[in-house]
Amino acid sequence: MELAAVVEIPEQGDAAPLLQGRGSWRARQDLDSLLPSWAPVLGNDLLGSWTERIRRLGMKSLWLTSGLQREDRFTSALTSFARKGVERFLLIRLKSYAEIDLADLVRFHSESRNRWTEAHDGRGQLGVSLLDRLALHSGQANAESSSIQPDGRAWYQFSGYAKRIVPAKERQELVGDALTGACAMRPAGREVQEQVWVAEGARFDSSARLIGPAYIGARCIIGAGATIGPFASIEHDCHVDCGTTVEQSTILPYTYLSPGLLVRNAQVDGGRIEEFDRDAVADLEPAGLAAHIPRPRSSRYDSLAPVISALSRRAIPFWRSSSPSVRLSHAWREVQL
Amino acid sequence: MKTEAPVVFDFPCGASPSILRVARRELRTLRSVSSVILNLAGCNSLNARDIDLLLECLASAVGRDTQVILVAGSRSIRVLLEVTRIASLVPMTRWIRRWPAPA
Repeated sequence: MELAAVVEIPEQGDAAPLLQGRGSWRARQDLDSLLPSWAPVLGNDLLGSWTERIRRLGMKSLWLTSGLQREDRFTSALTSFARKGVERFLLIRLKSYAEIDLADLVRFHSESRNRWTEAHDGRGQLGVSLLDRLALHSGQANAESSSIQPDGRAWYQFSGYAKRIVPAKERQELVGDALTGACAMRPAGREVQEQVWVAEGARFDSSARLIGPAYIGARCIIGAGATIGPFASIEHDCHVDCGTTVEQSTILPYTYLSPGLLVRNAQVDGGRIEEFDRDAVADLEPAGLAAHIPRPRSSRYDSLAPVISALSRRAIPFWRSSSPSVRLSHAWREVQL
Repeated sequence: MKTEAPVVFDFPCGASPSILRVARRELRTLRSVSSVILNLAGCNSLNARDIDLLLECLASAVGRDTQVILVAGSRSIRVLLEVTRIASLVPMTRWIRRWPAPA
């Protein structure tokens, strides 16, 4: 049975220009709104972790797209695939990190003879589902399944480790778990002292305090008297200036923090801070407290690597693929694994 | 001799430099009061000039035995005051009730 893997980036912005490998730089800047999905977690590429799981299924490629929230787009896109002979779809929305065994999900789906199986944990959908071609036509899954839902979808109950990456508070829980070894994800760096990981090219002043568990990403600069940790993650290419304290927080890539700040229980992305406890968002940029660090064009979407390199070198736009009869309004890219 | 009654100063968030100059003059006259309530309840964000004025005000209160209380209504203002550590220097409240209440 031919299985196609589809990874969907949640449509927080318009990913089409990037996926089509064209578009002005302005259009690419608009993609910044996608970064929470793309941004690394302790230097780990979230898409990469899903890609690895798909590869372990024995699949040679996956399809990358965005904008499937609308039911009509979703159905028409998958119907186009089905016309090409795809009989089963593995759909992954890039909204969570889950240590799920995809082979077990496929087995469950086959043995239960479901047409549509969705992976759930105690908190709801994980954004991972299996869908048979027949479900596209009938719109219903096999009614014999004991876990059948009213809309025809069957549930695969996942009891392993899973966290959503939105909201930021849950993302921070993932950071904490990965720093303390409570999940399989490990910080992508060298452990320089107990529970403190530093990635390649990071520099910190000798007077800076690193309190574990903490992570400092590649090419970060940590100024004199700054305090990083506990439970802090500074992702790549950030600059934390003198005397600033970052604890129980994540600083997303290419962020500058000015001197003397106290960032606690928050996520900072450029000039924007989101505080977890109060569920409050504030703009730090007008006050000159934080800013986006301009990045070279070539490295602007470093966090997308290796997918972007795969896109630029090997990807084939869907509409140029083998079947000329297939037409999709949205950008689809096949990524070789 | 300092005035006992607290004085409420409505903070001019996002104001032009000329208005900030007037505010600075006004704040200087408050040195003789025992407590000043800086009312930021009408503010939604703070820019660099606002933070400068706020720090200037706090600095002038230090050593003059003048108590400063911040009124920060919005959550984003409270976040900004905590990030800048201003919230750890002076007490902060969410709202004030003026008495007698305005007609």
